[in-house]
Amino acid sequence: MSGHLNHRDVEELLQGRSGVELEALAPVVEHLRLESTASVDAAVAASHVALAAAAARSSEPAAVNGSSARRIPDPPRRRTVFAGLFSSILVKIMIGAMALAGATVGAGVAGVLPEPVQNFVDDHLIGLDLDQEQVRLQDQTRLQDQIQLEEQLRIEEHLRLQDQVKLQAKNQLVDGRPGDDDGFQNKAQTQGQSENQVQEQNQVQTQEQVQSETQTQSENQVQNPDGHGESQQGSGDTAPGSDGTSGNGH
Amino acid sequence: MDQAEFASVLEAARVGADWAWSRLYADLAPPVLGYLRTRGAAEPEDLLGEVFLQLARNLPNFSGDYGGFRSWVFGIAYHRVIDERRYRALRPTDPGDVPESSDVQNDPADLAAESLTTAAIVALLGTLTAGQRDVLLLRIVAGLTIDEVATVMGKRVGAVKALQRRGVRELRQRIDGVPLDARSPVARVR
Repeated sequence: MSGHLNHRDVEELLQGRSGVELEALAPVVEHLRLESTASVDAAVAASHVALAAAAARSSEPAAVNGSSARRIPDPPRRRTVFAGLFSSILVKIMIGAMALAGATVGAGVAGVLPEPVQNFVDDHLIGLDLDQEQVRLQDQTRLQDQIQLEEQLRIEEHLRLQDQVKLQAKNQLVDGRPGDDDGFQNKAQTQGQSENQVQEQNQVQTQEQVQSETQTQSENQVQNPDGHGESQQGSGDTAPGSDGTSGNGH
Repeated sequence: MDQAEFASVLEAARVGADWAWSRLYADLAPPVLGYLRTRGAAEPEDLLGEVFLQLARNLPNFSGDYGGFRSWVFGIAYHRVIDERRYRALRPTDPGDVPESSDVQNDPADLAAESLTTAAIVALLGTLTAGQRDVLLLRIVAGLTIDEVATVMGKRVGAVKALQRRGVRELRQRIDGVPLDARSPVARVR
């Protein structure tokens, strides 16, 4: 019973020609063979067939080799899909680039960018208007400084001239001194008083003249704020006037 | 079904002709259903429908003769049964499942000897390993050759022959009442 089974015996059993060795298994094999002829319910079979046919029809264009349905490509749909994807990507890239540029300019105006980037932004993006305004302010400042310097020079010149006048007056008094001391003292006092009066008058005239010239120059500069060369020329024009004033002071 | 007829039926089935599918179904549904029943499928008719549905979907990928077509169809059924087994193993709610192992309360050999019913034979086949059972069912119920069974199961021909021989020996020992201790060491380990 537990003897060796060779392949031929097994094949004969499975073919329904079992020998004595495996005859006990013959009914089992026969019953299994009958299972292969099992009937399927008609309704179930119809539904299965309908489903299978429908599934085959739905997958038929890709299935049939050489059929007209398979030869028909579907490029428009694919093209549309890719075109939509491409345009969407482009739109996203453009939006991102715009947002990045806006953020960079904003940060550049705020001055919080790294130094190289900030320098680039200052030079190329937002530096033009600022430079023009800065040049205008610098010109005005330089003009005012020049006017003040000229005024100081003029005042110093007047003071120097007054000192010369005093010195000349003293020298004249020393050269023409009388014999008695009282007369000399009276003359000196009288001459000193007259000299003081002259000096006061000269100072008042000089100050008025300087003020008038300063006002004139300021008005000229305000009327031509951008003209740096013109302001210099104007200051040159006022110089002879100042000389004339000093002459009048004498 | 001869080759000429099969070629025309296959061409019509690919474009969804109802008559072609009726022809294929009439030819293949009974053995496939028998294989599914004896393999222990819980709902063999539902599984049969799924097999033909997958067959229709994958039909564009097939090329070959009728014998190859039959092997291909049983290959689909073979894998569908495995999938169903795995699914039921994850959700063991069906009390009607046939156990894979030999843990059968009544001796299946006695049941098969006394009354040759499908349930008894399924219980008797349940004492075999899955490989042995598949080989015997594919050979007997599906009528496939050893080469075709090897193709379906993805095994070598020699391995299929060994499984077939061991399965028959196990069945004979069960029916003849040969005690399990008399089995070969390889069989005891298995």
